[in-house]
Amino acid sequence: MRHAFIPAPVLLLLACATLAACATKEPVYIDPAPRAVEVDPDNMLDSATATVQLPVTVETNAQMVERQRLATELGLQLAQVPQARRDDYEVELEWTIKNLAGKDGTASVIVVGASEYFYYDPTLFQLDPRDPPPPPLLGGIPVVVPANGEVSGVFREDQLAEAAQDWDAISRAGVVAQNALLTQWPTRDVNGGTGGVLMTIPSAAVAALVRFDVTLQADRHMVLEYVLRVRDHGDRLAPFEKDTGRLVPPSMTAFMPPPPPAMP
Amino acid sequence: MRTRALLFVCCCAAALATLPRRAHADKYAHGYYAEAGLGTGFFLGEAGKYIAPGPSFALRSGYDLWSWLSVGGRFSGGIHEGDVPPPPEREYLQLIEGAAEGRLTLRIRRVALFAEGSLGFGYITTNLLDRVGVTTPDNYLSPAFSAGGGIDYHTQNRHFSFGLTGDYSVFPSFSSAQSVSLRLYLRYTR
Repeated sequence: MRHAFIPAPVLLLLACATLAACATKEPVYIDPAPRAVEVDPDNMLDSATATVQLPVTVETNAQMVERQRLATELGLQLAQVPQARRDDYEVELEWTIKNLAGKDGTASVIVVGASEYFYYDPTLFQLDPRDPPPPPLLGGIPVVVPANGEVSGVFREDQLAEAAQDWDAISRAGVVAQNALLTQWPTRDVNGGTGGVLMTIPSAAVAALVRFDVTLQADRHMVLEYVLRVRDHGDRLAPFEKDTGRLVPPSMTAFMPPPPPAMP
Repeated sequence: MRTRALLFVCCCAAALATLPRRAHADKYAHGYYAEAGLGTGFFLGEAGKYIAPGPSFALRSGYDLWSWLSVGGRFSGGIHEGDVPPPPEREYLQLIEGAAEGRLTLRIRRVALFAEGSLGFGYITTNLLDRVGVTTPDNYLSPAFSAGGGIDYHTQNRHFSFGLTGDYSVFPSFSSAQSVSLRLYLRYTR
């Protein structure tokens, strides 16, 4: 009787295929610049910000054709389907705050950011300078950091996906900022637009956040370090690309909310 | 003189290859083989500070040229927690290896002792270790040199044996990281 047998070359080929399959979904860790930010209220520095860009390469002609096909399928124009789409990336933000002071302190991590269409400046949403600004896209919750100790935390993939959806809803669908930021979306589509460029944004056309501005606010001498952990469902994540011209740029246009309706 | 020596070696090899198999050859199959092993792997030295021990596997396949020498390929890997200064925390990486290897075997009845050496490549699947200098950005492939040995026990079925193997590997491009893996395996020889 002849036994079934897998010869060595076939086995190695299978192994290589397995390796290739494993490698595609591995997370990539992207550091901000600067990698750590320090605040020291005793020296009049009670907040500091570090920025990180989601390094997505500008699409090729073939990818643009694919985006055009997607736009047609969704009933949108080409420009309304972003190059960097939320559904293509699973992003997580992990942070650690170290308290360098000898007393317990309170700190908060505040995340805002930008899509390829608009960036978020919460101060532009303040109708009156005496009002508190609307909440950030993520964070803003005070945490107690023990003296000479450290606290770590994470903004999960689903939270960042929700933040991207919030921002696209606010900036492109005209959803009221407080509603978008303080409530959870029942689906991954944006619905309930109130006069933006789009009334609804299908999940596949929700723009990814391609820039994250992470701010540390603290009442003691503290240091924040964070890292972006990204899983790419496609092949356009380029964490080592040095030429920023080859990356989808975050928008430099701040979204300005429409003025409130005039009182009769 | 050199040609004669070479000729002598070739003749000896040919003679060995054509010798009738010894009586116990019927008890132990020789030829193509496949092997699967499971165990653990850990790192030594500087890399060991940042890479926690983890489960390890190996798939091997090749050919027994003689009862004492076989050549083949190995595909192995392990999953390890990256113990880097936070952030990030509790993140995992995979080390994948592919190598060509040779094995020398000394069989004493059902038990065999063997030594093996291999040359190949190792691949780390993430850039997690960049921050501690074990890997460098955009370079996650390294040559890999391995040596090891083990003990093999042949079952009464002439095709199957099992045993314990240990391998020591060096990855020059990963800051000369050194790993040790210990695995229990099952081997099938056709």
